[in-house]
Amino acid sequence: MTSLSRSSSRLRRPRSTRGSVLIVALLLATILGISLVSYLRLSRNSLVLSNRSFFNTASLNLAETGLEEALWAFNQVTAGVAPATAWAGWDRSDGTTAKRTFTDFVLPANATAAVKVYVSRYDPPAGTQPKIATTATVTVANETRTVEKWLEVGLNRRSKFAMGLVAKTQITFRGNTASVDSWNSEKNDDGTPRGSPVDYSTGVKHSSGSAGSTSVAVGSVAVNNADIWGFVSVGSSSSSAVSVGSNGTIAPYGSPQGTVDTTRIATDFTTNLDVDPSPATGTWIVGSFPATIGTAGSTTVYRYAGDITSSFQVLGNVTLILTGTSGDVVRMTGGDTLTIATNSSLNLYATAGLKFNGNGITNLTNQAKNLQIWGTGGASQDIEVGGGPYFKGVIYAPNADVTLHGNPDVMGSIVANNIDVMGNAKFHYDESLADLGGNNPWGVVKWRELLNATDRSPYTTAMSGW
Amino acid sequence: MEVLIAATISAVVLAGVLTSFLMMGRSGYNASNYSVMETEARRALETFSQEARMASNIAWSSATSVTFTVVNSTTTYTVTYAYDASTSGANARTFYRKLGDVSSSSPRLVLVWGVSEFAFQRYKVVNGVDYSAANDLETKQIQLTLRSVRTGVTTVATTNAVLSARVVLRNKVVST
Repeated sequence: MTSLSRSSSRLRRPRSTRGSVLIVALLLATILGISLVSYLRLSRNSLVLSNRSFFNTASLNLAETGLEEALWAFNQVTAGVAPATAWAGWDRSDGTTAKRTFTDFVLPANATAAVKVYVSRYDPPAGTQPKIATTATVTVANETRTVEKWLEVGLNRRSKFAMGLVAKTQITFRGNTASVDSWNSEKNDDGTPRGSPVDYSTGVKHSSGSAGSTSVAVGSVAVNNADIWGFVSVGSSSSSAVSVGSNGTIAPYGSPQGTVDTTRIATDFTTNLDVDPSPATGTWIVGSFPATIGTAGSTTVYRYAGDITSSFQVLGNVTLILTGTSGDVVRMTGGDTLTIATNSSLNLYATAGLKFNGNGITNLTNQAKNLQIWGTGGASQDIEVGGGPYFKGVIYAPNADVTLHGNPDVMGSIVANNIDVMGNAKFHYDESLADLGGNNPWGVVKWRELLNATDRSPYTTAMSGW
Repeated sequence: MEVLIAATISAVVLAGVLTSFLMMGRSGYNASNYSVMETEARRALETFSQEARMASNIAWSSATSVTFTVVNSTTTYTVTYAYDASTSGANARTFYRKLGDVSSSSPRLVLVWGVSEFAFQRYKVVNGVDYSAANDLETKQIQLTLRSVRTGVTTVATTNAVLSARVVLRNKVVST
């Protein structure tokens, strides 16, 4: 045996440990492999979750696109477009509902989307609140499951009387004991309808009176020493636009007089105050104005070119357009009274001045919405309400100045350029006026996501098969 | 001599392998933390946004606690989202949801663990000079920011900064 072979023989490992390095290397390689696979799977799962989260957000936006399409069609009809044109492309074959599927969306990562929109009443009768339901389904490439969102909105006509007192320029309270609060003539505190409308009383009062000005000027709402049991809004970005005297109050009932709760002051207040045009039709009243207009149980439209200077009574649902353009087309003084009989209403349109003094206005219906005064004039139009123990009605005259004088209880809502509360009037906003939509554009009053099968059940049948 | 060289080379190779192994372990641990934090954040934002969007009212207790009145199918309910800034206890440094108002004793659902920074912001709806809302009356949008942290013994801390969208409270009347 040579020395070299002896040496090799000494270095040779025992038979039992041969291959141990290989085994260790294999074990390490296996552990590294498992780590790498885990790492890759973690990354892959994160990517999938990230994608689903992205398309989840996208599907919500797509579902809202469907809502917008339906709402646009509703408001096209309100704007005077023929329903067949406004709802072109929608399936209205059953005469009640409208259905449409939108698919022309471009999404990243080869995803595709479909939005189905269902409208419960595309041509709702007055007083009906239609609903829109929509589903957005996003199909992601290389994914077996889709991403889906269901939404439902309830619509209502927007009211011009969503607040108590609204001025474009300024609201000024001059009396030391003037006040603002609210009640709801049509609903109980729990939201259920009342058996019959009720007048304001301390038993039904709320701290939700509201006064707002869209002006950004300092003092645009001059509360002075009046008491606002509710809220104040100003167009300015600073609450300093509200001027309050040492005894003035902006607070909920129960607070000491003189309290100014800044959480009840909203800034940057904006609203659209367009003039509502008067109807172009109506039967002309010739000669002196009658003591009674309208017929109980009937709806009538009259036009009158003269001035009203004496008492008159309204029977039935009357629309009266006073076409005079200068001076005061209503001048009530002394013992003059405008009386709205029970089960009656008056919509009065005028471009010139209106003075309801004397014994004022007697609205026997318990509802402010049954006396609506629409000022369609410019900045020179003045409307005065005074005399009488109370005024129950609404005034919408965005370019006119409205003055309340005397010490009446005013129940309803007033929208004007300037509102001047001269005496110690008590203003009570009727919260039910927020639902007085008329033929105004539609708005969303209830928005909700249908999260589970129970929420979606009212629409699962309606949404299938098309 | 050959044995020495072989042993040295083996040691270097083994050290390299071990270092790589440890690096992969730490990276995997961090990646796992990131994944968990992101999953928590996504779920938290989705849950929070769903109820905020349906809210008809908001009660702002502080920049770390708000209560929504949420419109349901037939009724409404209140739910509170808040941050527990305490440094000890089972719910320390968590962003959570609970039914009821801020004083409610309802059980908490922890949405994000290990939160080091947290704040709600509230905004108006109009394009004024100052977008921030000063009170509940004028609040129309809400946003949350948070930072969650995970730490390990031999790894650097992993952090996840979250900024939500400005969620519009769709059922809330801004000015009453």
